[in-house]
Amino acid sequence: MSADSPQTTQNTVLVAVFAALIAALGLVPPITIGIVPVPITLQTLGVMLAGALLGPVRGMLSVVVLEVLVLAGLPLLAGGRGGFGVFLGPTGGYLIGWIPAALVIGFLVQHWALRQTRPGTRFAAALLSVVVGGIGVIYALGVPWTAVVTGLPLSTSLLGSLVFIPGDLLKAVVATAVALNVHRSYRRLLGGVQTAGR
Amino acid sequence: MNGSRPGGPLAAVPAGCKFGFLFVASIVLYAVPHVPAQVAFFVLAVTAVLLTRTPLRRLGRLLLGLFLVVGIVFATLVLTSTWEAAAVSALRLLSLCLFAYAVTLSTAFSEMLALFETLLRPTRHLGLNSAQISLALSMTIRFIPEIRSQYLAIREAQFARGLHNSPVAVLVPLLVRTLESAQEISSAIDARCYDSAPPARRPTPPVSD
Repeated sequence: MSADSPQTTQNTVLVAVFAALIAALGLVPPITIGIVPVPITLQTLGVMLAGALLGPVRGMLSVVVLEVLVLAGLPLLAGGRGGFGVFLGPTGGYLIGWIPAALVIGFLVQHWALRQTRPGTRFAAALLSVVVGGIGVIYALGVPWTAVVTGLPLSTSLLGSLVFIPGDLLKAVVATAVALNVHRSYRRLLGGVQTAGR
Repeated sequence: MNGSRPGGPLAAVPAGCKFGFLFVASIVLYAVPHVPAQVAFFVLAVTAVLLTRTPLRRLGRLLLGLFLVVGIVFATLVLTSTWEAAAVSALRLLSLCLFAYAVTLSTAFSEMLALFETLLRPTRHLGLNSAQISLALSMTIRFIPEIRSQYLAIREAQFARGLHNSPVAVLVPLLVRTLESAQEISSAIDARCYDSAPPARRPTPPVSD
């Protein structure tokens, strides 16, 4: 399959399916991870998975497809939110951040993490990629956005967002484990990735 | 997805005009930092939302989170800066979001998609295939309930095996199944010769006369 051309039907279907997956993860009852009693919403997990599994272009496109549908008014975000108001609201930046997040995760995972041959190094590299894209990039857009929209000082906005960091770190670990697992059983996904050493 | 047609006088306004208004309003709201003007805008925004004739209970559900966040912002700003600045930014945020909700609530989903299609038309020259875009959008909507029911089924199965605390055990089978069905569907689409080749990339056939 040609992973490089975004025009083939297969790629379109993959983009659509992952957009639906991100949306569906917002509709299901939240998973409780292990002993942690805090239920986490799973949509960021879906964004991380889209990048890590589909690569930069298709991963980003599936987030774009989802957000176009949200913008058009479908209540696809967690808690049945949707419409133009969500983007203009105080948390709109995080939503916009999903798009470059999937791009960055996909790029790092495809071109760096999956090239690692030792399983331990590969997991660490993939986890770092997911953290950089799924937390770094999203917060880099979300925190200043909140500050600008609400008029709060940047430091307060940053402090408020710190509450969500532990949950997001957990999601990054889960996304990494799941993505590497799926890549192992479905090797064609990122254009003939060699999983040497197995 | 609520099934009901948007009602009220705002539904008759073309979607493009509403988005244009939203764009202008977002600039004006930031340009005018006076309390009386912001109050006027807020009243206007509330009127706009009420004009969509949405049931109040549904409105309450939609806006609960927003009110919560704005409340926190207001409290923080009152404590850290002046009372006036707090009122201006809380009101600004509320009016902007209310205007946006009014636009969404008074515009049918199909009308919205038609607007996006118009806006995306110039990208045709950049090589984007609008047939593929609408295929992706409509397929996404079709797939959401599908994936949700698969997720619930897998979760139940893993629960029976005592794996209910392991998200990996739920998500890996879900993704593998999803990828497999994506493969099947794309073969089915290709077998039916859906237009998936990029347009205007082919050389024009020689004119024979």
